Amino acid sequence: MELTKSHLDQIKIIANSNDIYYRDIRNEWIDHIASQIENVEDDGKHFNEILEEKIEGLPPRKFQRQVLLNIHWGVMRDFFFSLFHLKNLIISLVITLVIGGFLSLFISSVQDLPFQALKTTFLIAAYGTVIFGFWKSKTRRNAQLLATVNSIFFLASMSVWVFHQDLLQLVGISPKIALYVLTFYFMVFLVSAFQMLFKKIQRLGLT
Amino acid sequence: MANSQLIKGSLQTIILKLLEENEKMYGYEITQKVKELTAGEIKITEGALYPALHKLEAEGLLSTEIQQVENRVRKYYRLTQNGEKEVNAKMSELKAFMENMQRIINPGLNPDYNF
Repeated sequence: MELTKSHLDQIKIIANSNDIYYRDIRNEWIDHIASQIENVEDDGKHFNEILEEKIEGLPPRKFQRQVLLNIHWGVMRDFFFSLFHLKNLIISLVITLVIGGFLSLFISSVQDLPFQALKTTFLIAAYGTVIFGFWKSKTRRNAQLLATVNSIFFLASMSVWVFHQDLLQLVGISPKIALYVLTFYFMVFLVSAFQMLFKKIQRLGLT
Repeated sequence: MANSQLIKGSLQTIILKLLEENEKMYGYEITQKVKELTAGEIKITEGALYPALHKLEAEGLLSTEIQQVENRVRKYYRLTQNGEKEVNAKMSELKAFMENMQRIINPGLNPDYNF
């Protein structure tokens, strides 16, 4: 069936009225529905009838939800593997030796303060990376970008909660070593997060 | 029609293999190509295809390219370098799986698949 501009506008209106917020998902849904209709043999069926059938097969909201969920899983997997990149590990190790060395100077006099300073700085840097992502890409309507910043935000918040100095000390690690371990983890996290976000923005051509 | 669970389990391999053979493809084109190659035996649902495509993109195995086609935007997928490596890994995995299945189904036969 030949698709006119008014047919296409009708499909776009449906996408908008169904709250497909992310441009990349919206465009793909529109193109898929339009391609399907174009390949329907013209047997006298009305356009609206065909459109309804095709939308039933690919409901827009469900489509957006499924795609978003899978992008998040994909990003988290990619992020997990990037934590083990040799380059990231080496960079993080160097930063850890500098920062950890500085913070450990205070550990004997004020035990908790270096840990608190480390965690606060980590969270500020992680959330700053998220803000940088939105600023650099100049959009909030790209699903891949959203999943990347969401994952960084979520994993950073979880990391501070899960990787706690008390937990490390509970298994017999001294405060000084615990400080180095935490610093190293946070640095690997930040280096990987920044690198992943920057790559994603470049790959998506959002700059 | 082939079992949907089997297709679901092989979907990423199917996508990667098709993109290895066809430089770039868009979603609808992939569904049609699979239908054509299997004479309609395997029909990939859009509800499974697009989430898989986006996941592969998020994992860095696929890159995308946007083109304006007849008043609408079309998103093409192509393999990245990591994606090319992943095709080989997936194909070896699939080959080993099929050989093992063949051993179970026909213990007397010596499977020899060419990919």
